[in-house]
Order: sequence, then structure tokens, then C-alpha cells
Amino acid sequence: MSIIKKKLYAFIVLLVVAGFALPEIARAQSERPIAIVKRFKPDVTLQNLEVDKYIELNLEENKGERLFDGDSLTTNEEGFALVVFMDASVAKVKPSSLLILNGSVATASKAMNTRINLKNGEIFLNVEPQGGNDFEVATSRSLASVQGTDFGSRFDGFVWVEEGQVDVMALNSGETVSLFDQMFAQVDEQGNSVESGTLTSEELSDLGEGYDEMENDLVQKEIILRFRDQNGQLREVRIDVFEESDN
Amino acid sequence: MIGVVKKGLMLLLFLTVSGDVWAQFTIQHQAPVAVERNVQNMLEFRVPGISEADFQRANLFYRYDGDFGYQQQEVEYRNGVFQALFTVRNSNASSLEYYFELTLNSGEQLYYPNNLPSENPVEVEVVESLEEQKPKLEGVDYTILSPRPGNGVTRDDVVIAIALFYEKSDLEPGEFQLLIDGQDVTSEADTSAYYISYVPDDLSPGPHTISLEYKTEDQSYSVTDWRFAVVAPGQASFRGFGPSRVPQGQVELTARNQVIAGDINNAYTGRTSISGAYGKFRYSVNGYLTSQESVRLQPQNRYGIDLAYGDWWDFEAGHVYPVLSQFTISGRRVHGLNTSLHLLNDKLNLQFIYGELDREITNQYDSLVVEEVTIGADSVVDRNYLLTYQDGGRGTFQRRVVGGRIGIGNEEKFQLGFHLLKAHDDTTSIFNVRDYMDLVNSNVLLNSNLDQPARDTLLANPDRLDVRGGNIKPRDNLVAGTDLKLGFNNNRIRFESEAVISALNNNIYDGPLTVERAEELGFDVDQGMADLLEQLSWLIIVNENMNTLPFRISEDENGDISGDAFFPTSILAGNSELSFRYPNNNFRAQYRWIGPGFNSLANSTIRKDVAGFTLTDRMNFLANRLYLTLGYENLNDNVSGTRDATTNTITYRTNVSWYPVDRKLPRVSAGVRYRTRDNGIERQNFLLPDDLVKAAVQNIRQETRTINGQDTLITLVTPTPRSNYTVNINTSVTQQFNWMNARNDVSLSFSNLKTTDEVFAYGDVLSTSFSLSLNSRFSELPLETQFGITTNSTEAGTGQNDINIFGIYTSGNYRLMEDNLILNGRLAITQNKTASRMIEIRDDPNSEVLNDNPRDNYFVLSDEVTKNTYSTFVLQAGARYNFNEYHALVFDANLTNVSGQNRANDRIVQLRYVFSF
Repeated sequence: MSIIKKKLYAFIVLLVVAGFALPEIARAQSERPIAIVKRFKPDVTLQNLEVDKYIELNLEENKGERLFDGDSLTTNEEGFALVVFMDASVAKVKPSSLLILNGSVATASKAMNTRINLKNGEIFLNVEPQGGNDFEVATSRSLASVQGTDFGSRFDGFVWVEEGQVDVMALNSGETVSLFDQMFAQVDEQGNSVESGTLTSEELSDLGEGYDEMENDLVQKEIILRFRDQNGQLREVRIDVFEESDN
Repeated sequence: MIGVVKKGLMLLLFLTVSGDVWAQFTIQHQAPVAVERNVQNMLEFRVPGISEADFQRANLFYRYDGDFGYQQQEVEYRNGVFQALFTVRNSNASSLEYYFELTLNSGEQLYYPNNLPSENPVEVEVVESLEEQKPKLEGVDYTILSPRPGNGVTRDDVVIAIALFYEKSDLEPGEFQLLIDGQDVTSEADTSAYYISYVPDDLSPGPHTISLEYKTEDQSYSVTDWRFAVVAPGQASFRGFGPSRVPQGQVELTARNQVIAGDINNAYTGRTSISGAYGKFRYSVNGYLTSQESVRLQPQNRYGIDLAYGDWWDFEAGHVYPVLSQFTISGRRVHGLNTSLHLLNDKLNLQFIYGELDREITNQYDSLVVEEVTIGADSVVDRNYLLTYQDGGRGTFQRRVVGGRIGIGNEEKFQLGFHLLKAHDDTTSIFNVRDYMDLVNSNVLLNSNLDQPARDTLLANPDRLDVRGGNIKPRDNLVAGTDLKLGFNNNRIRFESEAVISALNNNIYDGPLTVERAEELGFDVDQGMADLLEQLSWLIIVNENMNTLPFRISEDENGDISGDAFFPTSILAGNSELSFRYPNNNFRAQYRWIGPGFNSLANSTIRKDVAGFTLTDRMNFLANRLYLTLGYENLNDNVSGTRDATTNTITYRTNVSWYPVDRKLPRVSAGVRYRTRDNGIERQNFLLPDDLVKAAVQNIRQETRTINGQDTLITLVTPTPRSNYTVNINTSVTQQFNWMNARNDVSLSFSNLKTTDEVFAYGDVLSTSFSLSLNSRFSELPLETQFGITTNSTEAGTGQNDINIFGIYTSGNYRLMEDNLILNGRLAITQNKTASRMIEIRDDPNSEVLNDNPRDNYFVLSDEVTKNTYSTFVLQAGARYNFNEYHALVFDANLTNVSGQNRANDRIVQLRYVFSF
């Protein structure tokens, strides 16, 4: 009994210490953002009830707005957002979406953990290879763990993979399915089962529709043109050409 | 007598070289302080008042570190400026020497510098590319969030963001700095300990560089830098052709009306260039057509196609500019093809050249005249029969060239190569009169004015017909060589060697030497030798017209003359060099030997009859900001021992260049070259007083010799003495500064060359030139301006010629309507003053009449001074309007007024349509 008590006291002390320490840790971590809104199309709002934060993003003032742990991002029926995380992973957020960002980023190394809670709507992600980090997208019924891939997720538990690998888990049952290139998974409403399959190119293309609104940068390609000028001299001209990226 | 001829030639050469300054055109050039290696440098030459209709071609001749031959490239004439885009690809060169040659339609050639350009070229230092290399900051990791390196974003979407990861305690105190294109924007950026972002207000379209630095009290470190571009929204969609499967190109059509010296001339030109790529396959096509094309000139119309696949295969056809080696062909234009293959990881390299070095230009004869040779008043003793050319009617044979090279091994480690180049005139390509029978058998009716006796005489003796100025002779030339390239210690130590042999035949009309022809010439050649020459004739025609005969004519005890074959070393040339290329020190030792009989018709700039070694050491300090070059060269001519005297030339040179990266600091280059030339012959002429000895026409001395048992004092004419020294100082400074809301680049150059002749009274040369240019780019106005002053003063021949040129110019361009309309204007004024005095021969200070003894002759400057002064005013105005990104119209007008020449104004009006796709 005494052993149980001692363990209980120790646990309570631990909780108390943690109760004091964790907010400090959390505050320290929140000093650095976990992502930025690189580009957006109004209306997009940011909110964090814990720190009394509410921002309607304005194109004049809020380019590159930082997102911290606990922030939620909402797009209205016209809004789009392109979110870049600290490891340069990108989330493209479609209209009428709500997502809450949780995560932490270390200071001295690139260690970071990121979870996107997709409460509503749909996102598409280009996730950088994660190494030992975690990058997850959670809905009320599914959890997708990512290791560097291009994939999409809807709040209703539908996940599809354009390229790479995503592990999708039904939250209630724990059933996990691994998805690869051109595969999809649908977690049922109760979060018990996962149905998966492959997508045709047309279906994949359809799923990617609408994300053009939030294209990332234009990728520069260098073209070397060799020609002779009017004097016949061999010339080499390097021309920078900008194309839409595959992201 | 030899001395007189040489002096005469000197005078002729001098008058030829300095003649350009009396012409209407003068060439202006601002030499750069230095040229950066592996970076495209622009060399500009301005010739006020010139138009495209005035010249045939413009060439830049260049060489590195005092090479004996020049490479060449054609120079483009654009918007009133001759622009040579020049990249130093030589990884070892420490200095670049160049001169500019402009060949006018009249055949006259102008040079910059104008005084012996190949001997005194412009010299600039070669410096390393000025990418600033700050030390990397250790212990800081980062992720670039936006914009991704190399990507393009629209102006509204520019967000600069970078995440940092580091342990604070690991860094010494300091702060991060964010720079865009070198401008510090930290104060406007959103900076926190681990994240920095910045949203610029109005970043201009085009490429930009972002730099993140960490600055401590003592040092500035580089964290990272990356480039991106601000692009127009439509730009991506238009240029979205991926890896250039869709060709790009440009078409230009130009119409020009000009009045030059009262003559009205209309000219039309069309240019086109198309290029593209398909994977590793690249192609380009170009063409230039002009109504100025003339069969009397080498091609003015040009075209070419270039195909390449990866780094393996390159095929050029049309007008090509092949380089085989410095002793054979090095950039000379060929109408034909030039193709190369690089196989087995560059271990097997093949190159083949075939084409036309010169095209045929038909002789245009004027008339056949009979000149009577008389004795006394009217006693005709003979007749001369002369065929004359029309003005400019002298033609040229078609000269074909074929050559190739095979290189085995990678040149960075070991490569052995063999090359061969043959240039051959086609004797059938033009009608060329050699004797009267050629004329009779042709359909050219030039003998109609001959009376019958004259015809009979010529029919009986066709060789009596002479062509005034000499008929042109077809030539044949072969150059063959081998080269070896070795690299050690990661190619830091290199040894390269090339040896070549040449053969030149100055008249191949009669084919290879035969037994009969040798007999006619008075010596014997056996049938075996004649057969061998016949078999060799596909390679080179060997006969008595060889530039260097491989025969030694000897006479035996019976008085019979015979020819024995031998190997003439004078037709050889070689170059060997050992170089050490270390980051802070670059040393090169070179030995070269070029015989007087070495000739390549595809490269006429090779210096001949010279041998010696050259040592150059180039040291770099302060991270390639400060360069110190030391050089020593010792050369001799008369390498085959065929001359009476050997001239030794010793050159010492040093140069210091300060080339900081920070443009707020001046870039400076200063160099001194000291050269002595001496052939060891003492200046003497016992017939002249001491004060006239140096002006003597002949160098004579007395010597006692025993003749018929008696000591006899005899007079000997010695070779012309040669002893002079030259001091050449070159300095240039360029500085960037901000003033009047403009970024200004000011450049100053000063050059002084002084040659003091110690043995010839009229051999001194003093040349001084100065130039200043100011380029300003205004930040609040779409305006760019240029202003410049040039002066050149040359006194040559110790008072024979005094030339002073002063030039001033100002120009600007102004952009309107979102850069779619660009207005430009330029005013250039030059003033030329020349004073020349003839050099005369006397033997008596009180009389102009010469006695019969040429040995007491001496040179004296004429009292008569011929002065010439004129000014040139050139006003140029133009505009370019871009209708859209495809179509543009360019208008140029040019007015030239030459005062003091009693001639009408020249004017040029030109309209150009440009279609880009």
C-alpha cells in the first residue's frame, strides 16, 4: 500500500511540476512559428483562443503571416491558403476548410513534429522527407502519417496519394493501411475500418483540381541556347524560363 | 644598301600604320581595368561617324601572356558600337592582350591601338571571378521557406522567409543580416532568433539574390545565399516550353538610307537566328543577308547551322570559326564545316574541318597597253606589253582548307594529339592571265587595240606580256603537328607541348617538280625523287616555288649543279610550357621556337623567326583581391642563323591589380613594361661627323686586311645596328559611387609608351593616351547616361609625325511607357591634328644635291611641315518601340559633319523591325 501511495505522490508531484513546467516549455516553443502562410486568397482567418488571437489575413499586411502551435486556419468559400512548414513542407488549403496546427520545432536542430487537425474541408500536401520527425494529418476518423510524399486529405477521412507513401489509420479500430502512388483510402464514419484502392489517372487529376489556385513558386529552368549570331560567332545564351512547379 | 632598304621599309610601314589617323574615322576604346575569368566581358570600340556600309569586317585579335600568335573573333556592330563579347576561358592566363582591326570597304585597315597594334596591344590583367567568398558560419542550420532557390514568383507574391536552427551558446555575439542584391534590408525585416522574414514592397522584375549573413564585431559570415526571380504573371505561360522543344528565335529586317560624301546609298539587311533543344540535342540556325553583298569582296552574307548532342558531338556548317591549334587555325572564318566528336569519356577526341578559307574573286582587267621603250628623244628600241587591272580589280583564288585532329586521352591527365591542316588554292577557280596565250584563248577582248606586229610579237613570245602589279599566284600550304598534354596533382601541374612543321608553296601552277623542270632550272633531280614529289602532290605540291626549298643546290668538281634533298629546320615551330597552378600562385615557364620559314595561311598573326623563354609568376593576395605579376622574357631572332645579326629582346614586366569585390572601393591596375632590343652592332660611320652618325643611311666601318700580301684598309657595310629600349606604363582606375540619385561608374585610363632609339636619330616614339568614361544609372528616373573623353598624342620618328586626337562624347537612353519606348541619343566630337615632316637624304648640309658616294648619306628631317586639322561631329538619335513581347520597331538617325575637309554632311537613316519568338 505504501508503495502505491509513494507512486501516487510521485505522480502527483510530477503532474504539479509538469503543470508549472509545461506551459513554460510550450511558451518557449511558441516563440518560433511552426509554419507561415506564404500565400493566400481572402478570406482566410487565423485564430488561437488560448492567446486571444484572431486575424483576418490582409493581402497588404499579412503576407508571410506566422502560424504557431495551436493556431487554427479557416478559409471561407472563396479562400485559399498555401502554408509552408519549417521543414519547407507545403500544405495547400482549399476553400471552406478549417485546420488546427499543432507541433513543435526545436531550436538547435531541425527536429520537429507537426500535426494538422483537419476539421473541415480539404488539403493537399507536399511533405519533405521527414527523417526522424513526425508529420501527421488527423481527421475525426483518420490519422495519416507521412514520410515525404504528395498527398491529399479530406476532413471526411478520405486520403489519396499522388506520390510516395502514407500510412492511414482508422482512429477507433487502429486498422492501418499503407498507401502508395495513385492509391486512396476512405475511413468510415465511425473510424473503424479503412477501405483502400487505386485511382485512375483521371481520378487523380480530378482530385488535384482546384489546387492550381495556390500554386507554389514558378520553377526556374535554365535553357542553354547555342547559336551563331549574324557574324557567325558561336554564342551561348542562358535563358531562365519559369514554369509552374509540379508541387 | 640593306640599311637603306630597311629604313625605307620602316618609313613605309610607319606611314601605313599611322595613315588611319588621317582618315575620317578614329577608334575610341576604354580598356577595362581587368577582365574576369570565365565571365562574359564586353569590349566596346566606338568609331564616330561609321556605318555598316563603310566596313567589310571587324576583328578582335587577342592572345594570352605574350603568345606569339593571336586568336581572332569577329566583332559585332550594334547600335553604333563595335561590341566584342569576350570570355577568358584560359584557366591559366594572367594577362590578356588584344587589338582591334577594322577593315573598311576601301580595303584600308584601322587599328586600336593605332601604333603597331600587334606589337603594342592593349594589355589587361585577368582576374578571378569576383564572387565574394565570405567565410561560412559554422553551427547554423537553416531551411529556406520562401521563395525556393531558383524559382520565380510574381511581384505580389514575394515573401522571403528562412528558418534557422542553432545553439545560441555556440555563436559568438552578433546579429543576422538579410540582404537583397547586396542591399541590407535587416531593419525592415521581421527577425526573431530562429526565423527571419521580409516582404519587399516593390521588387523589380528579374533575377535577385538573397543573402543571409551573420555579422560579429570583427567578421561577417555567410549563412546562405540564393537566387530567385520576380517574373510577370504572363511570363511563365509564354515561356512554358519546358526544356526548349519549341525553338526561340529572332528575325530582323533593316532598311537604311545614307548619304556618304554626297553619294546616296540604300541598303537592306535581314538577320535571323533560331535555336532550341530537344533533350540533349541542341540546334541553332542563323543567317544574315545584306544588299551590300558583292562578288568583289569576301562574303558579307553569312549563315550557319550548329547541331550538338550532349558533350559528345558538335557539328557546325556554313560560316564557321574553327580552332585547331595556335599554330594552324585559331578562329579564322571558314565557309564549310567544323565537326568534333568526344567519345569514351573524352578519351578519344576527333575534329574535322573542311571548307573555303577565301572565296574566288574574279580578276577584272582594264586594258592591254603598249609602252614604248625609247632612247633619246624618239628612238624606239623596244616595247613593253602591259595588262592592267581595273581599280580594285585584282582577284583572289578560291582557297580551300581541310584539316583535322585526333586526340587520345583526357587532356587533364594525358593526351596525345596529332593535327594537320592543308590550305590549297584552286587554280581553276578564276581567270588569271599569266601570259599572252591565256588572253588569246579566253573570250576577254583586251587585245583588240594591238596592231598586228604587236600581236605577232606576243604570239611568238607570250611571256612578254606582263601584268602590272604582277599576276596573282596560287599557293599551297600544309601544317602538321603533334601535341602532348600532361596534368599532375589534380591538374595543378601541367605540361603542354606542341610541335609543328609547315610547307608553303608560293606558286603551284606548274605542279610538282619534274626532271625536265629541274633541268631547265639548271640542276639534276633523279626520276625517283620526281616520282616521290608526284606522289606527295595530293598533300603538298613541291616545286621550285617553295617558300623554303628542301633542296640544297650544290656544284661538283665538274661544275655540274645538282639538288640534294635536306630537311630545313626553319619550317618548324614549337611551344613547350610547364605551369604550376596553385590558388595563390601561378607560375609558368615557356620555351618557344618558331622558324622563319614557318607559315600557316589560316593564321597570319603568328610571329616568325623568334625563339626564347618566358617566365611569368602571378601571385594572388587577400582572397583574389590583389594580384602581383612578374614577368621576364628573353627572345632572339635569326633562329636559323641566316641573318647577319641577331637581335636579342629582353622584357621585364610587372603589374599590380587591386580588384576588391566591394564596388565602393576603387579597382586599380598599374603595370610597367621595360623592353630592350639590341643586335650588338655598333653604330659607326667614319665619313660623318659624330653628331650625324646616328642619322647615317649606311653603317660602315674600316678594317685592315691583307690583300696580295699588303695591308689594305677596306670599307665594309655592316648590318643595320639596332639598340633601343621601351618603357610602357599603363594605369587604370574604376570607381563606383552614388551621386545625384544615380549609381555612377567612372573609369580612368592612362597609357604611356616611350621608345628611345640609341642608334638611330629618328627612331624614337612617344605615345600617350588618356581616357575617361562616366556611366550613370539613375534610380528615380528611367535614364542611363554615358559621358567620355579620350585623348591620344603620338610623336613618332622623332618628329616625323605628330598626331593629336581629342574626343568627347555624351549619350543617354530614356525609357518610357513601361519600358516599351526607349529613346536614345549620342553626340560625339573628335578633333584631329596631324603634323608630318618628310625624311630626306643628304650628304651635305648646304646642298640638296647628292654626290655619288652613298656611304656618306644621312637622314634629315624636312623643314616643310604638312599640317592637317579637322573635326568630326556625329549626332545620333534613335528610338525603339516594343509593340509587345514579339514585335518591335527601331529607328536610328545619324548625322556626321567633318569640318576642315570641305565635304558635305553624311547622314544615315535606318529603320529596323524586330520579331522575336
